[in-house]
Amino acid sequence: MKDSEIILGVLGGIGRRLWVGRALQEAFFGLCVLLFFLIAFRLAGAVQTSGIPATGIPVWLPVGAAITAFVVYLAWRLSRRVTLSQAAAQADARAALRDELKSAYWFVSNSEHSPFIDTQVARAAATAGRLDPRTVVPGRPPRSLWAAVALGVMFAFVTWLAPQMSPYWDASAAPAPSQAQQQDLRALLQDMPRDARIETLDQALETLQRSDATAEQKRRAMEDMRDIAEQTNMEAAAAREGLARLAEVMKANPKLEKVAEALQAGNNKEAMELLEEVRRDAAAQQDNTGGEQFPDAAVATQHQGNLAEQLDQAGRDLSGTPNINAPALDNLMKTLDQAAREMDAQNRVNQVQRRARENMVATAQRSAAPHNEFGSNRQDVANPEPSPDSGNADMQGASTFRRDSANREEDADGAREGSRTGSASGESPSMALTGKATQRLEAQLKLEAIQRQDEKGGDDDKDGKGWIYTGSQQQASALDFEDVRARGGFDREAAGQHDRIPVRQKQVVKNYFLNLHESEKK
Amino acid sequence: MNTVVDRQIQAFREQFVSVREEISRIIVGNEDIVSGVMTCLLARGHVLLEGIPGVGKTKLVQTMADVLHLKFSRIQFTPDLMPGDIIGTNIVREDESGRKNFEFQQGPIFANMVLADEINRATPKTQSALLEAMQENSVSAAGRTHALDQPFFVLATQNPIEMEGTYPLPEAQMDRFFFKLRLDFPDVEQLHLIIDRTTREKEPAVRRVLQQGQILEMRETARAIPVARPVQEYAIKITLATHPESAQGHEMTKKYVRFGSSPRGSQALILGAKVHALMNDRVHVSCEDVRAVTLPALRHRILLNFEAEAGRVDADTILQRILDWVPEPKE
Repeated sequence: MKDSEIILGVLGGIGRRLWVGRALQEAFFGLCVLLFFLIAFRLAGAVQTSGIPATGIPVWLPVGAAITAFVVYLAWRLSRRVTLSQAAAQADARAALRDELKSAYWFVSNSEHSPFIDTQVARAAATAGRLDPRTVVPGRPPRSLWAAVALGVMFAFVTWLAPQMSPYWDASAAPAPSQAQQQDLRALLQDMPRDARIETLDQALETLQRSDATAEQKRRAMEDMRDIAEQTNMEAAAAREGLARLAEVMKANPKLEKVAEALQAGNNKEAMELLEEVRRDAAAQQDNTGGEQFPDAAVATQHQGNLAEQLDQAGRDLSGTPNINAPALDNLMKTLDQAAREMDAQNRVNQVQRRARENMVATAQRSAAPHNEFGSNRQDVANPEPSPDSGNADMQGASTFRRDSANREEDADGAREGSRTGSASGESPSMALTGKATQRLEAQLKLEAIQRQDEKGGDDDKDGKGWIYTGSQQQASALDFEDVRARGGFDREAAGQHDRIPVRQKQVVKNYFLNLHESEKK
Repeated sequence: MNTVVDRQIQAFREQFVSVREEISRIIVGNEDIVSGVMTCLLARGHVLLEGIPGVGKTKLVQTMADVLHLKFSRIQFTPDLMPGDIIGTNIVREDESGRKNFEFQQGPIFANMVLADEINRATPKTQSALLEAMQENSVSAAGRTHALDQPFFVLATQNPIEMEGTYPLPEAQMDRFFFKLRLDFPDVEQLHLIIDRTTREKEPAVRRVLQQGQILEMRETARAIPVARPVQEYAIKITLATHPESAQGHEMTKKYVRFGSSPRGSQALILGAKVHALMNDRVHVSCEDVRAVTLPALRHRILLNFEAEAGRVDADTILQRILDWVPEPKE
């Protein structure tokens, strides 16, 4: 075998091993970059929900483009082969050959010949023959492998093992308010009697469930839900009051005393059971009497009006008579059953509204993970001003704002009155303009007056004429002084004075300091 | 395996080592200086030795002349030295018939080894006469050109501290020297050796180990060493890095250097590297060889500006930075 062939063969082997090592290094480096971004986005939780501000482009678009470009770059890097001259340089460096193979390869590839060149190539071939490519380029794992393993472990830790790492973990780890969740909420309403408010509530939930709903539509849906909840709460409160009044009336009847106690305790179920017993007793007594009505028995009348009125009517039916007939009890039970349904409706509506609001808050927190960007998209969230001072503190995640507000109150010094409301960004100016936090900025403009000394020394200043505002006098002196200065030639005004200072200026200065002195005395 | 070339290379190395060992019997330490002087001799260059008085500059040259079987002459440069005192002059001579004619009387420059002691003490006119001979390997007198015998090797010395009454060599003339070598003050051990050798009854004697013909052969061998293009490119990059106006100029060069090395600098780098490779029993020149000769080959070829003088930045510092900065060829 010729010397040149030996050299080229060895360099080829070294070049292949170098290429494999470089490919592994670059591949694992690419994996490191990918894992790094995955960890970063996992921690930020911003991939699915955030958009680029002012453009509306989803974040995954530029991220995907960057990853694609990086992969293309890696592929291009990997496609480049290791040249033999590079292999020769690497072999020289790794085996401390002092450029022997590099020089020999250059002479071989340029077909130069001389006795000394041939000798050099022969020596280089002998050296190359002694070289083992596996020794020159050992097959050890690339350094980027360990970095990739470390990042992989970190990724696994972030993904599965450490939910507490992110302050927004609960929000980000929880799935977005998916259709399934909204369906669950709607299922709460399914077995309820369909009236206008339930229909409105269902429509609001449907709006929140739609992915193409705009922020404004969602905001209106949330407002509708809040209105319905308030209405339901109001009616439920009225029903509770009616029940309380009914219980008071029923206490007067010994047969219904226990029922009244149960109602007052809020135990409608027990009250219904007790009432059922009373009704059975009443029916038995009625059978024993041959179907005659008690002369003073409560008359069963059909209850009309809203629930509160019905309860009041039931109370009136029961008042003033110890005997109760079965139809009256039936009516009472129907009314109580309706009241129980009203309570149940209130519970469900409140539950639906609360959970829908929680979902929206979680979404808002994910989309506005950095605090200082909260204000930019606060219009998208259900509660744009999550301040405890505005009365909307009973929401998930509001503890941060409450704490912030409390801290503000602790060290409030009046100088930063504009940021007491606990804006999400902490240091931002006040956003909420309602509530107790907003204070009126008053300009402290005060003028002090001095008492002009009367020459007679008498107290003839009852009408206040003796009081002048020092500010006015000082201002007049200052204006005089400025006036004289503005003339620019006051030195010409008093010719013949040895100090060449105009008399008028002297008078002005004297007045100025006199007034100043008197105001200080005051 | 080319046995002729191998024998040449082996002979080169053995002769080089023998000269160095023989010189080291007299000269204490300074192995690098001895190698540098030998490199200049074998690369057909001339050397400028710089050092404070008494460090052995003249002794080194005298010892070298003793070791090499060459014709040696010494010129002590003084302010009143004239060019004719170096080159020679025409004198009138009367023959047997009574006719008078001019005859060229050769000066001390007609030798194989010329020691130009304290070259900066002569006037520029006299200096230039010597420098012309160094460049052309011939001298001109009375309209006739006289070739100098080969090898022609000038060793000039200069004292860097006594500058009063001296005529420092212009940079253009410094460029004619292949290497500029600096002799440092010997350390304690070396001083002990110097005292031991020079204060006894008999100083050690040296023998002549090289003949004139052998030196010429060694010169041919050195020239025949091949240099691969990547290594040559590395030497060129180093040279270009000394140029402040070059795009490849080093940052320090741009700050402190007024003029960079001439092409003679690149030639000196390659030739010096060839000799260095042969000294190390190699047939090829490596970047390491180039680095080894960079300081002596380029330190006198770069002209520093006022800022460097004021900041006490010398050429060696700049060159060292350049060596650290210029990467070796990767392919």
